[in-house]
Amino acid sequence: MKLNKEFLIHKTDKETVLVPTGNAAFSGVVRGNKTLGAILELLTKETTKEKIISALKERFDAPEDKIEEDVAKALSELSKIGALDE
Amino acid sequence: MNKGISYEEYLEKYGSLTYTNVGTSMMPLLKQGRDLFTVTKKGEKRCKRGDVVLYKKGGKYVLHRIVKVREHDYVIMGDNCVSKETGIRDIDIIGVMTEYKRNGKLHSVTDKGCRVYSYIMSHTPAVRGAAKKAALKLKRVVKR
Repeated sequence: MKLNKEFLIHKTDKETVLVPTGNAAFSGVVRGNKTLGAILELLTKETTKEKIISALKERFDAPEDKIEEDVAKALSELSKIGALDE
Repeated sequence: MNKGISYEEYLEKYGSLTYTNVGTSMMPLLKQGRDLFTVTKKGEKRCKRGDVVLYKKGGKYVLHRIVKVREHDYVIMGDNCVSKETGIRDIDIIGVMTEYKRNGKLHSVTDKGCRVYSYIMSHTPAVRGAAKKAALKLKRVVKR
């Protein structure tokens, strides 16, 4: 899976924002924390859910099941708005 | 996710909005599908010549540049447009652009390069409009 090219990532000190271009069907803004930022960065290249979970486990000091839950939730939401090429 | 809230409500809630433009009216500064802009909520202070503002006109949201500040309104023009818009009041302006991401690189409107660009764009609307019109006319003649 990969982030659809019609979505742009914008990171600030405080948050990560995912913005659709005018060509995307979705017309809202997705705001998230550093975890979402890391997930989105990983999605800029072809990857899998397992690879994302593995990368986040290395990067963040958080319980495994929490990371798995966050990744599953983020991917599900991104998929709903058409931000994922699966 | 923030489904179903207007830009005004979004700015009220978060103070700033990062979004993408649609169309070519702010080329070459902002290209649709590539670049992003961030606007912050307009305060009480009046905007300045050269400011790029997000405003609402006829139910549509527009991001263009102020080329003239008048007592009761602003004269506004897109960087790639041929005609000016008048009658845009303070009340119509929702936000003022503070930064933009062009080709993946983040720029603040206070950067020297941006200020120079803004100065040129806001002080040459007539020249740009005429040049653009002439270029369009020439294009039509060449096509025949």
